[in-house]
Amino acid sequence: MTSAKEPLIKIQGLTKDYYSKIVVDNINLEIFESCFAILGPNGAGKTTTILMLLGLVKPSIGTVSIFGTNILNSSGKIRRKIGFLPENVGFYPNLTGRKFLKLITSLRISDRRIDNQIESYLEWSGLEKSYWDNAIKSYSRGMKQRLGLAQAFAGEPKIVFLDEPLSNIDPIGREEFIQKIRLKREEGITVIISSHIIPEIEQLADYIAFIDDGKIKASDKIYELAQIYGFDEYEITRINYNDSMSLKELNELLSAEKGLFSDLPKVLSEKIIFRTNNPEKVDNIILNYKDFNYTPLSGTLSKLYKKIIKGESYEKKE
Amino acid sequence: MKRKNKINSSLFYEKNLFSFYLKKRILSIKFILCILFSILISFSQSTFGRTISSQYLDEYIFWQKFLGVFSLTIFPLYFPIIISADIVSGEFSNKSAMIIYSMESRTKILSIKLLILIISIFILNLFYFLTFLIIAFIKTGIFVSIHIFLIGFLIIFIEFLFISSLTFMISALTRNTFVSFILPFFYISITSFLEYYELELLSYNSYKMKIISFFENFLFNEQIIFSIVKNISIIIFFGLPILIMLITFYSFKQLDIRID
Repeated sequence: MTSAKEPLIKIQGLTKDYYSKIVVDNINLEIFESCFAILGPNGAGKTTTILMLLGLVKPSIGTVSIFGTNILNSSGKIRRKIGFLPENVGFYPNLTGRKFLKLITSLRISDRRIDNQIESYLEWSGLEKSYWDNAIKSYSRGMKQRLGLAQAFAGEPKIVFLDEPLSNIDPIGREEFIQKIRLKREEGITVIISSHIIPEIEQLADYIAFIDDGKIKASDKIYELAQIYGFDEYEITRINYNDSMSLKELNELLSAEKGLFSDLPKVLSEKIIFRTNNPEKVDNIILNYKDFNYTPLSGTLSKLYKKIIKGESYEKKE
Repeated sequence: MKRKNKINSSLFYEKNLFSFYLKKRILSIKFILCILFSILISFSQSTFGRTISSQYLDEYIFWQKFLGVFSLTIFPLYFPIIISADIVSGEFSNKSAMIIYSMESRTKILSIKLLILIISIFILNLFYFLTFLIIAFIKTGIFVSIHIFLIGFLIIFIEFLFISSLTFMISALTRNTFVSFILPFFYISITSFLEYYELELLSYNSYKMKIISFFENFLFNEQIIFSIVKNISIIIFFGLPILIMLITFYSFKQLDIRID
């Protein structure tokens, strides 16, 4: 097992070529307990990278270590701590949602805990109760996606890989799942998301890796990348009402820190918008308040994407 | 702690996967249909008079006529293909492959599937032979000698296993149910042509016939005739299914698993 300071996933020189065409090119990353997003256009190498992390595709060169063990030599004990939702979900069509979830969960944890988990994960998925005992072949694509998300998180995994997780889910369901995945992250589950849908990544990810043509173009904490690429506007949004602290009080707390804000912050009903040159310090403060989410200003990720992936002109801060 | 040890030591998770696959296979319509058809074929081969001797039942009815069915008609040999064709590829065609969802090692999943396949083939063979045994007893009042019955059972079981392993290999490596059905089907269909055009080395059936003749001499004439050809035939007959399995496992481990 890894210690707290060691990365959960260590990727070294990961390369994959098919018939001399390089689809993933020398990726080096360390992923710690967090929500880590891999963002890039279609065909950038996201899915191949995820499949290599899972040991389903063999790297041409390089290694992937999960919990300190090479994934290709890892034991069942380690593999059972991993959940995965593939991009194209498919299940045994004649099994019911409940039975499928029970099967997957029974391959990760012992019997005693399974029964408690099945119904709670079916509920968590938002799948209508009347469908729980129906054959999966009667499910819509969105329903299958919900079941897929439930199976990825069921069985107490420590790391969950999600490949385009919300692509088939309606906008309201998408919002719900963003909250649910965020809660899972807070429970200590490391979530690795591959997507090309920027708004869902913006709301979920702590760390991000931009990938294009199989190469990592940039990788860091989102707010650090924003800072590096010249975006210094951030927002703190209220996501829960569990603590008694109001946004106004939080603003006062932050304003008390000398030189933290570059100019006067705007305090709105649900968020604070501000400029800072020290995003890490803000992050360290906000970490203590679970009701608030701290991200670069909405839309920043889209701008970053354009700069990093599409190479649109920008002045990189030194 | 005690519970934890039990889970770790008794292949707890493998048992869950095994029972899931076994239920799925045994209760599938195609498996039940194969069993029913094999009983029908076995029944149709059991037409003989009431007053026959034990030796006549063993040598002529069982050994030559009943076992000969597998050489004269290729129909029963299609059953192992039907049972094995989708055993790995079926999961990939509906994107439900357990390798992807359960994260169990692919060797473990393939081993469990292979075990299920062997059990299925054994059950199929058992129905086939027991039907003959029971009908023969009902009609004549005598049983086929147990050692002759078991040797006949073993030979056909190995032949079924060869066809299954071939289908299993194609199913695992191509992950395409149609291809894994049609290629072994084609191979069995051209067996007689291979023998006709003196390409016996490529025909598994020709090795089987040598084994049958070897055991025929041994069982009924009490002669053990070894020759280089017979020895090689025995090695190929029993060794080929194992070799195919080993190739399957090795190649499947090297494969990239993608669901596109």
